[in-house]
Amino acid sequence: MKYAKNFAALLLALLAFGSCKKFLDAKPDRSLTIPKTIYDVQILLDNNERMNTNCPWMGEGSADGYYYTQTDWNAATNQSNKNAYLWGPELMFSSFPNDWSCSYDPIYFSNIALETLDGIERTNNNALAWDNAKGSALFYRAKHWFTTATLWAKAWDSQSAAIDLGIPLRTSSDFNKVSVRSTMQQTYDQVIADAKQAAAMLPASPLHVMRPSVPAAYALLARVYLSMRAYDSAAKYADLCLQQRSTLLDFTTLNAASTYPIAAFNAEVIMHFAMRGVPAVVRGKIDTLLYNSYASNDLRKTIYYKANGDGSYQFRGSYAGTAFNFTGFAVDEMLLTRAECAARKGNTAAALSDLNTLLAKRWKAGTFVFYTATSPEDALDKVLIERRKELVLRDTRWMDIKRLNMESANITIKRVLDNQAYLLPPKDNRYALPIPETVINLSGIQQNPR
Amino acid sequence: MYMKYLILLMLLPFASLAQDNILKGTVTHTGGNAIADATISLKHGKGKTFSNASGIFSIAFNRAHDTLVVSHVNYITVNLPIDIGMKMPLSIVMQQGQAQLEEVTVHTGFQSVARERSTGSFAKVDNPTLNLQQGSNLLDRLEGVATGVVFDRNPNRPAITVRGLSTIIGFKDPLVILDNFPYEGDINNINPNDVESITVLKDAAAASVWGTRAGNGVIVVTTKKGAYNQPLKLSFGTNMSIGQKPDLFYLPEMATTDFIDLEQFLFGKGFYSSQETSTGKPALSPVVELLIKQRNGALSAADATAQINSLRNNDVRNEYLNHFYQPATRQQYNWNIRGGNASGNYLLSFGYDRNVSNLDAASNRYTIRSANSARLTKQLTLSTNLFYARTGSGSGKPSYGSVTVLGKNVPYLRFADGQGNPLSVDRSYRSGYTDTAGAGKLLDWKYYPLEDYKHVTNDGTIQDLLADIGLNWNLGKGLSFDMKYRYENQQSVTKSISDVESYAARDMVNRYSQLNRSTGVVKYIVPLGGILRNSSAELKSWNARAQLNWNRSWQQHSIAAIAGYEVREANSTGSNYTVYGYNDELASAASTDFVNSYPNFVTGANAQIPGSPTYSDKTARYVSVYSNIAYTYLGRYTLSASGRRDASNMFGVNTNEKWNPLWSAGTGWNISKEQFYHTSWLPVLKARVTYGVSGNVDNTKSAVSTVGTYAGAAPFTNLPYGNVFQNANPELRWEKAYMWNFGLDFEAFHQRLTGSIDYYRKKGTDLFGTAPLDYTAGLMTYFLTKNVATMKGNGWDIELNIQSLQTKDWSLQHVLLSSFNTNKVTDYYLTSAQGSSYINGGTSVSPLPGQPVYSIVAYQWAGLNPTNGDPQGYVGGTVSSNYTDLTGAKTGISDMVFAGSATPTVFGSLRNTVSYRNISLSFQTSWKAGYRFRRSSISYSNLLNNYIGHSDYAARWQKPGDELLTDVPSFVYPVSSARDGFYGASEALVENASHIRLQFINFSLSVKRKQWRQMPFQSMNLFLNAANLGLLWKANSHGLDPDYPDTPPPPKTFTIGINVEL
Repeated sequence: MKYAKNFAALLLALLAFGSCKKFLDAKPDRSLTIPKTIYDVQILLDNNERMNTNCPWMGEGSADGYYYTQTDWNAATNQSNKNAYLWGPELMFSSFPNDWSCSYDPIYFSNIALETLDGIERTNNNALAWDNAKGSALFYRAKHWFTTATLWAKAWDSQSAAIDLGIPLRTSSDFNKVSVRSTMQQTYDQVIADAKQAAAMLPASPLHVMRPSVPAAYALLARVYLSMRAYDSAAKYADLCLQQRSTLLDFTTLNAASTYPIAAFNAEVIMHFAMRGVPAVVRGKIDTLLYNSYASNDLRKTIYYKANGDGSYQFRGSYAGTAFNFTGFAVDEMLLTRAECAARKGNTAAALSDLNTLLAKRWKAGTFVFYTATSPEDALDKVLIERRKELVLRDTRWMDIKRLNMESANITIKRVLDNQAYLLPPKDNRYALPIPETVINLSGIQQNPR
Repeated sequence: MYMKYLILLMLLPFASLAQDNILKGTVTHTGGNAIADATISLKHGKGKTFSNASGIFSIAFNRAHDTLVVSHVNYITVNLPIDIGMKMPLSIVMQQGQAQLEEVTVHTGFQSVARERSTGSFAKVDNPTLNLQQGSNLLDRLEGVATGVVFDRNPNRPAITVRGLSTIIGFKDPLVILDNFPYEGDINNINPNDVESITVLKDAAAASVWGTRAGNGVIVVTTKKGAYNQPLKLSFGTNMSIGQKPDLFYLPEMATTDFIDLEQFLFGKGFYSSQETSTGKPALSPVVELLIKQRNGALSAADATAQINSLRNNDVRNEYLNHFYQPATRQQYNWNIRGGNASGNYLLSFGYDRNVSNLDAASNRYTIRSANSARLTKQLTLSTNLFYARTGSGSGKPSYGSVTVLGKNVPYLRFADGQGNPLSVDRSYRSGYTDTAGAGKLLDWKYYPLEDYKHVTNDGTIQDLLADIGLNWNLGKGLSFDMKYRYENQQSVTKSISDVESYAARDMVNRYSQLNRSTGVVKYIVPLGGILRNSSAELKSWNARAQLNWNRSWQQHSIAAIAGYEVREANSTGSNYTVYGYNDELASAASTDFVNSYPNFVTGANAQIPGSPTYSDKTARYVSVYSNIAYTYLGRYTLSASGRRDASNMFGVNTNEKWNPLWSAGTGWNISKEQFYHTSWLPVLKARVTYGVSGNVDNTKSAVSTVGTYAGAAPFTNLPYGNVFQNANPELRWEKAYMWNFGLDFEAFHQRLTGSIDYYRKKGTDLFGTAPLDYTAGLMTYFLTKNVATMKGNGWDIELNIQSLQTKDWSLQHVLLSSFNTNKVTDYYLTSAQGSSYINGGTSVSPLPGQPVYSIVAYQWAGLNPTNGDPQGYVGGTVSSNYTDLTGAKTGISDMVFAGSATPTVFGSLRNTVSYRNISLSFQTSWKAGYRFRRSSISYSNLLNNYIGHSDYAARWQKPGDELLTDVPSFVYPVSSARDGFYGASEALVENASHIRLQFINFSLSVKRKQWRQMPFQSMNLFLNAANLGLLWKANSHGLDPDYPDTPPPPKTFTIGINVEL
């Protein structure tokens, strides 16, 4: 038994030398890390395929910028897309990924970033990077929450905001937490608070327009307040934004022969966002009345559009420089927002000034005659018409229809298929899109009524 | 039922014996080593005993003259007349005989255990049985010859499961042990001719010694070794196989003429008009192009119709079969030298395989192996094992379905004209566009299927080097100490070259070309030339083990115990890069800009050039302690226990939490060795009971989120960018399986019947399953691994060897393997979502308690609507054609039909062997039953969008009354994907998967030199083998092989071979 003792001792020694803690602390994958530095956070926020260019298209898909011909309708096989066109109650999000998942995906990244930054001390040495990361995370979260609210909640109504259904506001990366719908008031409060905090932390001039910046945060706030019909605040933030960024693209310098005449990241872009895969028809068959509303000397008629050869026109004027529709912030939108707010406040001159500044860059050289207005209402009408003509497929139209109908604009969207007309009257329940059924089933949150 | 065993066990210490005279002795074989487990009995006396591990025995006798009978399956029986005055101890020397029962010891990878004294459940497959099936892949040879092992051809489920032990999440392959350590390399590196036996560890007692990695079953491969005191032996074997062309006509494709009719119909409806006007100039099928020409007046209606009709008799499958497919061939050669003296032994083997596939892709494999042992001193034995394999694989011709028009398989394509000249196919763009777009300045943009593969090579090389060294220190008194070390290095390189003439290279260059139309100058952004894609991977792993063994027998006791400590590391690195402007002859390349975006020549959209380099580096580390103890009393009663703890370097788990204990306990009883046992027709009877816990952990999930940086920079910004690669899932618990195993081993009727019966009960808790996720959480996924359910299961594994005829010349043998396995979900943790979430062909855990763990879930079927041929189901009990309701939230889990298990509940095989002298003929049938599969049918949206048709199209509902004859819905335009989705997942397409297969036929002739003096060999074995012979019977009436519902079954293969010993 002596041997047995010796070897029991040897075995114990072996077990002891295996100070296996160090051995087992090796990283299983060199390319992965548990996020703990600002760099780890920043690489997530710089994943622009997820944070910037994966925005929903259902807003424009539900709005009045395009149409299906009967032939195209019959040939289309994607039921979700067809249901979206008819504001159909179901199966709008039967596939994955979908607009809902793509809207909440950057929020998850932002929450990981914010949680990680909570564990990193802000010091004098890292202040710039820390502020940029935190400001960016707050900005992205606010931007995507807001876009989600424009699609899946009704138009803002301050009378009922405290009880109207908002969207789920997830502020933690823990996916085991159950989603709950907030109220409209909570949704907008959180969006505005985050955007304001971001504006205080972000740099005035970003490394690239894919990254958030102070003017981008102002532009977001201007858009949010406009959707709330809080025109003073909308004007204030549009103005703050324009003080920092006011360069406009001169359309006379663009080459209409290019496939996509407007370049990405051009001088007018404040921050770049773009839609995820859009059904070809959304930009392929542009509403005829909209196309016909451009004057022949209006360069947008040739820069924005291209003939399909069958009498219809497709849109090619995306600020993304590709077929993907730009949904970010640009100087033109800010000018139009400031002009609209001025007109609503009775300041016709200011409204027209902004409008003419913009349009002077849109017409053939020497052809543009400055707009005049007989009244603030007349100025407002002109601004709104130009807003629609300028911001084509920019994901602002759905929001605009909703808020304008709250101002009694009385816009009804009409589709005709199989000799049947489908109407979406003002303030219809269907202005809040149906939430994907899977989400409803799993979380138990309340579905939007149809 | 196990109460009986318990009572018997409790009685065991009281079974004492009165004895008169004692015979003592030792049993050794001619080499001098002790023989354990020899049966010692007396011809006239009662009782019997067995020699222990040191060969020592003692037996009582009470007659003056008797005969001692010493027998052992591996040795020639010794009859020794005895009387009272004999000198003790007796020394009995046995000569090696012909092995009658091969399965003496089983290998767990840690130790070799006499089967007789093990309590666990094993399936052992020896070398002759492995050689009944041919082929280069070792594991494939296990099919139908190991009990409890199921092969599954569904790519979404694990390929091999042992007693349905695994769940479907995570690592799907069983753990393969090569000799002593897990084998990390490619299983195809192992030459089956080097393998002595394979042991499959089935129950918890057998597998728990491998810890968490045993979750999908453990397959222990034991290689051939030299033997001490054995003269030099040389053997050589070769065989040649030929496999038929695959039966492409097994695929249920739509008739070409139906397809053309449909295209004409759709063209009339304007279905192709948006593609026709698309800026991307997407390729259109030949018929659509003809219809466009006709519409534009470029072709008269009569000419267009004539040209279209000339396509109606084409079937692209014939093009593939005529131009690309050929019979597959395989050649194998192997040489083996082995021998040994008293102090050392050696083995050297070489193997060479050469395969040419049905598509003319050649691959080869060289293997070299050397295994040596040397007794350095009386105490120290050194063993080494060196293994080297090099496999090379090349590319062949295009496989069915790979020549496409914009990714679609057009059924009337032709690859050659009447004179055999290659024809072009519009692969990506319309030829009307590519012919003129470049104004003659771009490279030819045509794709010729008959030529293109000649310009594309895809060469893979895998080199695997494995070195084992082991030192055994015999400390005496049954105690020994083992140190073992293995190093493995596998390098694989894949080099894909599309040369300058290949379509891939020309297309890439053209797509990024910038043509100045006024000067006619072309600027190449992608350099002119070929494309080289290189991907290389290296695996380095090492294992070290220190193990104490104690094998000791004294008086009535015998103990076999091991305890050890093991450390393992596997590091894999990889890199990929792409080079443009590549010229293989000059090995030259041009530099390429992977950073900036450039416009696409066709669409004008900006994009980066793909192919910037990527790297990966992964390391898995494990530390384990384990022990296994078996104690046997009187050679009859065995108690065993094993335990193991593992730790690994998984992310985000503290070292303490990384350890997880798994254990098992068992007992065995050799009933036939009892004094009271006198059942002469059943001389061997042994009962075993084990219980144990095995666990499974999903290594891909962790308790923390991890982020990683992508290779290269983000498009547009050129900033580094990353992603969340693992989502923190702290709620994930270990999946655990608790298993009881009750086994009975027996030999009856003078070994005419031998076999074992195992019954097991299994309880699984916290089963991993995919759970639908509320993707409001982000994550970019809609399913997550969660603990979803508990299950209960039980089953039988029966193995019978029957010798029904045994005369001087004739023998008839039957080997029956039969398994039964049923299981059901007992608890489901999640709130069940809508029914449509579970339509997946039985790859997720059933959400309904009482149902098989993996079930085929289908929509209820109410037949076709007699007026319009719409498929109908039930919503709330009433017949409905509302597909939104039928496939949406209104159809819950309780509205679904659970059509039965998706995996076989009954399976097995029967092998019959007829021998006449030295000729023998075996044939094996195998069966699977008691389960369901879903067959495919027509999906009109798939047909329109992806050109995926189905022969069911011809059987579709066309007029009232058809609903009585068919379940195939009518074709309506516009199509509805929800309608197709409902029909495709309905009960109408669920079929009984039961079938019986003729697995192989093997004919062999063996000749020994004493039978044929002139023969230049010691022995010779000639064989003929036919495999993949198809089904003998199937329950479904659609001609489908349920193992291959969507692909042609593997073609019949015929092999001829010879093995000689010099």
